[in-house]
Amino acid sequence: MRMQPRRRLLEIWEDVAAACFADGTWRWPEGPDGERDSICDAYQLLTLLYPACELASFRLDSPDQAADDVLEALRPLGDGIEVAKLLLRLMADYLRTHTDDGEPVFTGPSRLSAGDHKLTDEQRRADLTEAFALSVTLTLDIIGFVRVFRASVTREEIRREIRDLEILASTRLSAAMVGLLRSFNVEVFEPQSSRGALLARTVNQTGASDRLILDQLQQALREVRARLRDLTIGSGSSVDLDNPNLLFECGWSWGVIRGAPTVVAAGSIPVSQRRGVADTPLIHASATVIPAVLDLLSPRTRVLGLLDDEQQRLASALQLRMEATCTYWETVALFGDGPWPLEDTPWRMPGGVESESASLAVFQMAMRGLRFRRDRESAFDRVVGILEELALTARITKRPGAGDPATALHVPGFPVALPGSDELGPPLVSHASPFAPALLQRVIVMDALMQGTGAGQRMQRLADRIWTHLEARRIAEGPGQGLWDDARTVFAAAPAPSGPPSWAFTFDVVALLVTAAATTDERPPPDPQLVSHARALLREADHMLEQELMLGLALRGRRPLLGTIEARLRRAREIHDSRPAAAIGLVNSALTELDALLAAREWE
Amino acid sequence: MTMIIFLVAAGDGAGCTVTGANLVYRQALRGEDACYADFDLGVRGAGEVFGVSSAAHGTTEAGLHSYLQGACRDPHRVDVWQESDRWSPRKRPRRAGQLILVPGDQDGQEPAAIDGHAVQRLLRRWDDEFGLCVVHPGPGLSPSLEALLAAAVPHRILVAHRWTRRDLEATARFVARMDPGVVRFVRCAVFTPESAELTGLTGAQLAWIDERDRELHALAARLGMGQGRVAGVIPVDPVLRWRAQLITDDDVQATKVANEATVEAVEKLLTTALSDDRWNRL
Repeated sequence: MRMQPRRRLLEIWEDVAAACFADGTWRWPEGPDGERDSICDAYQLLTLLYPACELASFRLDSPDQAADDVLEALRPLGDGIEVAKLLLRLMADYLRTHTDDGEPVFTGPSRLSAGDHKLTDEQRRADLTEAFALSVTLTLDIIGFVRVFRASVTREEIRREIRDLEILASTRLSAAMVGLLRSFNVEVFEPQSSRGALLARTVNQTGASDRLILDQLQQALREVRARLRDLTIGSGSSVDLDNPNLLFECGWSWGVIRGAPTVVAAGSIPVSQRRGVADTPLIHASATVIPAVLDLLSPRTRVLGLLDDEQQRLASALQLRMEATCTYWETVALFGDGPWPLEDTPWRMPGGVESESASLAVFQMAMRGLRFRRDRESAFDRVVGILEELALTARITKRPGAGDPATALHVPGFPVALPGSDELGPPLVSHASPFAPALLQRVIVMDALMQGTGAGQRMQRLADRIWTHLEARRIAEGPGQGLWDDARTVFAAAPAPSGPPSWAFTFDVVALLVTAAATTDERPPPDPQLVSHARALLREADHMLEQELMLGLALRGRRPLLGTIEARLRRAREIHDSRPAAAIGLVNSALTELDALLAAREWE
Repeated sequence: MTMIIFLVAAGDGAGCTVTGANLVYRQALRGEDACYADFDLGVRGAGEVFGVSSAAHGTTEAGLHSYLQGACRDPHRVDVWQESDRWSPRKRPRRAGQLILVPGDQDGQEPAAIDGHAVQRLLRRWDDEFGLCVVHPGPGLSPSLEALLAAAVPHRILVAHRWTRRDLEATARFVARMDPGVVRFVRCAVFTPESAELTGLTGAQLAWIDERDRELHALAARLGMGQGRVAGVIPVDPVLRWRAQLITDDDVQATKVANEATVEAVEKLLTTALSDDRWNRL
């Protein structure tokens, strides 16, 4: 892929250092009144921390193993040790700032909008699902970082700080997991209700009778229903799913669910769990939670033992919900034998709103299980088709017209209404995470699955085009230079970026580059046909070499030539299982030289 | 702040003398009085590094050997600004501090036993007199190093070593019994894969060096000689390599025979050696 994720990430780090660090002090993103926001701060910190924790070649937690080009990019922050110490300081600052009276807070007023009204204080103080999810990723990274960094530290005061940090981070992690458990919900509705009708219209892509289709859907959802009945702790567990005639939807809402029970647990769980007002599951909210739950289940989390016993228990409760949600959307969005409902873009949401943004959120959840499907190979073309279509209608791969309505999808983003928020003041909306990076993230994930297929090539072309679009939206000059987002070059109607760069956007780009780098790090499995081809070539080359060696007398003085040939074949034999193409290259050059000898012999 | 530094190495050829000489030279340029004491009683090569030919291999006056045998009250001091043959050090820069070399005797034999009290008296006097005093005993656990350590005068120890597997391992053994709080390492004559000296090598050679460099970093960390305990890294430099001597600003700016990076590295090492905060980093 032409994206070159490593180089891009290093460029972004350089720009982050330039944007945030001056005269020895770090500049956190601040609201208009100088207030800090747990979500914005987390996005900013994660632009550095996330690659450093996810990619071995970007690690900063042991100064002896930091790569030179990585340190070069962060030069303004100091050398390897200073960078690590700065990160410690930032983590401590974050964790202490977003704690009130010893309890972590998960607010994010900057992510909320009340149109022409002002947010009420209660709304500003509301805990948000996005903040819970982000905190899971952030605290896991913090705990992982300090666990490794600790080994290089001997100074007592730094060791003490690391101990304190780990406790703070672990407390925040528990609180975030509890928050996620209390913002999950299952909503039940009648087939005759407007929700039921919408669901029927969505899944019915063949024109069969709605009743028949809904019966089939109920059948297909039996397993999800059974899993959701097993929920014990947190919200969404008290819903009656026993009536098989009722339809349902499950997932996360934008905040804590109204009446969510307290999660009772031993250990480090914070005592007070604030009451919420959120209600129905929202696909956009669920889509933000999935990566956080995946981080909880990742090999890194397991290997470093980042979770204590109680957190393990919460993590499996979250895993259960995530899997149920993904399976639900896989069942609904890929339903039936005709075209998938998901192919019928844009996705329709309750209330009659439809958007590419919703399609993408559903896509993310529905395609989680794609790698395990038996029909996945045949699904590839349809998957590519959906993503190409989304890129097209969102005007990423097609020139937007003047005043194109697609502009709003990108800036400020699709507005997600937050039902229940009006209990605390004016009704709120929250803008969905930036569309273009989210789309490219999906393309990269799918591309990794499709390597070596025709669909894979289309995916790479699409990835390149979306990346070009993203590059064009970097801030050209002024504060936040090189970061995101300035959409004016692409969408004429887009407003000029105001104030600091968008850390949410910048982090999304960083996250997709991390995914891309991680998939390029994984060596593609060798093509078995190539391996057997290499073997066959090796057999012939070995034979020719034997012959030449046996005619030893004639070859006196030419041993060095044969030596090189032998060495190449030896190397080819060593690597032909893991890198057959390189082995074939070696054998070919050996064969050419061997044949030159043979041809000379046969010359009359 | 005054500081006594023992500049030591596990074996020969680590680059102690030239590093130490450049350290005191830089300190003097900063306007502080600085002194270099050549306690390497077997070899005595410091005069040459300072460009003092009258004491190139020890002094004909009563030097450190004589002092340690009780033959004089104070060992002979060489004022480098006055006596160096290299024209640029002799042109003492304005506002520079004293730059003193304390050499051994030209024909002095390494004493069989060293009087600990005499060493202690000397170190205390230097501590009073100089902002920085670099004392260089012979390689390894020499009798002079033992005497210096036994003198119980507050000090720091810089351990120089080359950037090779063998040197790292030997150095780790060498420092095993020293107090880790006062010991820091100086990596000398370091090639890094991006060094200008390596341009012209083939891709395969660079790839190989890159891999070995990575291994060395991991080994250093394992041996307790990782970044947190490194006081300085002195790159390979033609002037240091072909003629161990002081690197003057003229070498860097006028004739350009030396690399600016080398001067920067020495400056950084000096700052680290003199500052508590940079000495105790992790």
